[in-house]
Amino acid sequence: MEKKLIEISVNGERHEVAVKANDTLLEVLRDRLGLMGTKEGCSVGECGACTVLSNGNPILSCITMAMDAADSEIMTIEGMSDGDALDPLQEAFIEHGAVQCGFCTPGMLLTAKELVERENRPTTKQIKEAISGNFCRCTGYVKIIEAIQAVRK
Amino acid sequence: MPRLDYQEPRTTGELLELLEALGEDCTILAGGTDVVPMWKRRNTSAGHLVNIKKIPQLKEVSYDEENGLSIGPAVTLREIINDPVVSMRYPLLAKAARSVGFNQLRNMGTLGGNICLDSKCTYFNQSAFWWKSRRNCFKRGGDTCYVVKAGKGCHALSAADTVPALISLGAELIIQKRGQERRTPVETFYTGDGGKPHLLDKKEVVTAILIPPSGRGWREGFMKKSPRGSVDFAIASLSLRLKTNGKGIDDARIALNSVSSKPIRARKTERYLKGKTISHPTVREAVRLLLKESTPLSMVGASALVRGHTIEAVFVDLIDMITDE
Repeated sequence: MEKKLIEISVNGERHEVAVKANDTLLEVLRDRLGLMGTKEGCSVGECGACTVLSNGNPILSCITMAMDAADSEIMTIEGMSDGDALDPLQEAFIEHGAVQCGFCTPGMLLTAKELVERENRPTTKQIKEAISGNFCRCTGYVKIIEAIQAVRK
Repeated sequence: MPRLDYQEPRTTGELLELLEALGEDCTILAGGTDVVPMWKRRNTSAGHLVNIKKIPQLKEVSYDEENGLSIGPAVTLREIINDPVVSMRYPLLAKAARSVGFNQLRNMGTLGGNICLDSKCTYFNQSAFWWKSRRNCFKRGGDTCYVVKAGKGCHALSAADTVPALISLGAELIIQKRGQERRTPVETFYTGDGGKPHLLDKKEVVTAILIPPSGRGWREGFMKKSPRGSVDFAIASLSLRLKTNGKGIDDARIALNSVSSKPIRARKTERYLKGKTISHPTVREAVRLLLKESTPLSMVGASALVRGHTIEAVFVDLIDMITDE
């Protein structure tokens, strides 16, 4: 299949990548740019593990076509911390024991990041609604919700 | 993912030319939340994906007092929820948009995509691997329906959540193909055939969704019930609008989806409610008519029995909500 050169902006850095028409954003992030933080769960847009931010909004990278993402600013979990200084949300997840196996964590953190930036003081209901598309099979969500509440801006 | 070609027209003119040239061999990418998973599961075989999200004209929302609201098909559900005009003048639509899928899907999914959503089926929406062990159903070009065993056609579920709201608001679609434009009410856009759920020709595309001014004196409510309250397709979604005066109901608009192979405008129930005052016997009779009109199916998350009870519960809740205001 013919490849096309696209420019894609990830975590503030521009990359030129040759992609096939059927490549997904997730494949480009993991296989081409080596950003393994973004996880592939169900691969059909049901579990939220592959969540990244596109122009600040959480989207599912496993069902986003790479060519479609060319004009957007993408942020992955690798772009969340400032070097070794973790984002307050990341600190809170550690502090509250909101991470067990860790597979859902990158997607969960990015979804939460958009929420705390959008809503000044998200309520428990708003938190539950925002993360309802991010499946966690370990924690039972309680610790995750506590962690997000701790970082209300 | 299977092989495919990807096109990104920048104007409506370019889009219509492309659709004319590609014909049957193309699928429109509006949000991708349904089309891309279908592709991955080999539920669709078209060789071209045409992205309409890079056409500025199809991403516009405009409003004027005389003609009402016009929404481009590539406007995302999130943009609709956040739109101040929609929240103020069409809260019903904002509520319906908020009920779709979950956070990420609403950021990606579009109104045009939701309207043209393919019908859903517990059997059809399985992987190619799963289908290797079964005879093809009607929707896959075979001659069997696994949902309605003696069925003579496809009974997949019509499952778009914004559609009942749009029908009850009297929304219309502008549909274009090269050199042609037609206008059709959302209400008559659906066929009832799960295999080909709507009347969009392969060379056509929805280029605008028009909603007339909402009018005065209407009280309205929208409710969706699904197994988990998020993520899932609905067991039933219902939109109810009542025009009331001090004495009783002047006019009614009732539309449902996710109960059958097409969205339902409950005209008999509407006719019955006109001129009535809201009372226990009136609501009971309205529920009886509504269930008769809605012919619930057993599939995608609920049996016909559960669907029936859900429609009843949602209708009664909405009536309570509206009359309590």
